[in-house]
Amino acid sequence: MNLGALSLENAPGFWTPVRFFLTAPVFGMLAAGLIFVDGGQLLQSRWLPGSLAVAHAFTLGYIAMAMLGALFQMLPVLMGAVFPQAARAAMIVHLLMTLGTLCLVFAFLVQRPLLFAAAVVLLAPVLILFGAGVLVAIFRTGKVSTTARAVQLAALGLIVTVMLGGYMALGHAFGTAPINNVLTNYHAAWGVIGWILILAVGVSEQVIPMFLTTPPYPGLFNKRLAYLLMLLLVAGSLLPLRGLELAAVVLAGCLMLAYAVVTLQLLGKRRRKRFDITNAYWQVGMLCLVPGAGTNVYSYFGGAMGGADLALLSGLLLLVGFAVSIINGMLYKIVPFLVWLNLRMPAVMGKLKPGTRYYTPNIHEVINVRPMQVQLMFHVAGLLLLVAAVFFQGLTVYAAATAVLVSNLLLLLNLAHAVRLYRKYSSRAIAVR
Amino acid sequence: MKTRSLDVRGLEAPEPLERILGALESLPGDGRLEVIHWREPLLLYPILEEGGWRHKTEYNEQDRTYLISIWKDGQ
Repeated sequence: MNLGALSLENAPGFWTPVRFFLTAPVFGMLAAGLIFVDGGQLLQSRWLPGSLAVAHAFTLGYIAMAMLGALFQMLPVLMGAVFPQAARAAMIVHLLMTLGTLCLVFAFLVQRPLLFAAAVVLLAPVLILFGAGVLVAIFRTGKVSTTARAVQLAALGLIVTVMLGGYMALGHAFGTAPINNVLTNYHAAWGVIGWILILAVGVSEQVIPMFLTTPPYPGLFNKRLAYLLMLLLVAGSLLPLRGLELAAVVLAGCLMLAYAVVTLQLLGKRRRKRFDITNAYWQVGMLCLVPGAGTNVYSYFGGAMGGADLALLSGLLLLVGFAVSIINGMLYKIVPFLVWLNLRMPAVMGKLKPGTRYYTPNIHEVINVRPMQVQLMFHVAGLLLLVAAVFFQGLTVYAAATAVLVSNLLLLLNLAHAVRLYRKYSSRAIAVR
Repeated sequence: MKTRSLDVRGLEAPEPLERILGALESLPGDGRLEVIHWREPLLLYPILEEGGWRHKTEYNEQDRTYLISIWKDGQ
C-alpha cells in the first residue's frame, strides 16, 4: 500500500484536510451574520432567499467542507484507499468549494442569474468528480468494509444531491426552471439522508468505538442501516406513489430514531468515564436527530406548531443540531491528532540527527479542554435560541445569531491554536534536521 | 533477537499508535516488537515503511485480534 498523502517531506498530510477544517467555521460565521442582518424574517419560511442562502452556507460551507476534508484524511487511514494526487486535489477542491459556495450564497441573496451560473460551474463538476473519485478509490481497494460501503453510498448521495441542486440553480440562472417544490424536497432528502446521514452512520461505526472506547454497534444494526436508508430514498424518489413516499418518510424517521437511541446507549457505555468533548458533541447531535426526524415526519403529515415552518425547524435540527454538532466534535479529535502525528513522525522515521531534542505535545493538550467547553456552551445556546427563534421573533433571533457567531469564532480560534502549535514546532524540527 | 510484547487493545485512539511509536523508539536494533491490537492499524504501516521497519500482520479468528510483528531490515 502506498500512502503518498502521508509522506513527511513537506507534510501534505497535515494541510490536506486542515484547510477544509479551518474554512468550515468561517462559513458558520457567515451564516450567523446573515441571520443577524436579516433580523429573523428568514426563520419564518424555508422558501425565502435568505433562508436558502443560510442553508447553503451551512450545508456546503460548513458541513460538506468539513466532510470533504475528513474524507481526504479518512480514505487512506480507515479504508486503505488512496485518493489520486490527494494534496493537489485537496487544494483545488477547497478553492472551488469556497468560491462556489460564496457565489451560491450571494446568488440566493441578490438573485443574480450570473452568480447562480458561476456557482454551478464552480461547484457541480468538482463535487461530482469528488464523489466519483471516492467511489473508485474505495472500489480499487478490493476489500470493502461496512464503513467503506457506507462512504460509497454517501458519495452516490452527494452526486445525486449536486445534480438536482445544479439543475435547479441553472433553472434560476436561465429562467428555464422556476422553483419546484418536489425537486427541492428530493434535493434536500438526498442531501440530508443520502449524503450526510449515511456518511455519519458509516463513520460512527468506526470512530465511536475507536475514539470513545464504547462497545461496537450491535450485530447487523449499523451494517444494514446505510443500505436501508438508501433503499428508502431511492424508493421514495423513483416511484411517484404517494403511499410509498409516505411509508418511506415514516420508515426513514424510525431508522433515524433507532440510530440515535442506539448511539446514545453506546455513548453511555464508554469504558473511560472522564469528560470528553467529542462525546458531548455526539450526544448533542443525537439528541437533535430525534426531534429533527420527528418534526420532519410530523410536518409531512401536515402537522402544525404555532404557525412555525416545521420543515425549516426540522432542517435546523438535522443540519445545525445533528450534522454541525458531530462534525464540531470530530474536529476536536482529528486536528489535535494531526498536529501530534505530524510533529512526532520525523523522529520516529529517523529524520532527526541522533540526540536531537524535539517536542511533541501531549495529544490531550493540543487544545485545552476549557476553551472547547466554552465553545460547546455557545454552540448549545445557539441551537436552543435558533429553535426558539423559529417560534418567537425579535430579540431571540439576534441572541441566536450572536451565539452561533461566537461559537464558530471560538471553534476557529481553538483550531487555529492547534495549527499555530504545529507551525511553531514543525519549523523547529526542520531547522535541526 | 529480543522480542517485546505490547497489548494495545481497549485503548482510546490514538493511544495505540502513541504507544507503538514510543516502544519502537526504545527498541534495540536487533529487537522485535509484537503488538496485539483489536483492529488493523492502517495508519501505522506507511509510517513503518518510511522509517525502514519491516512488519507482518496475522489475524486471529478466535479472539478477533491482530498480531503485528515489527522489526528492522536485515534480520
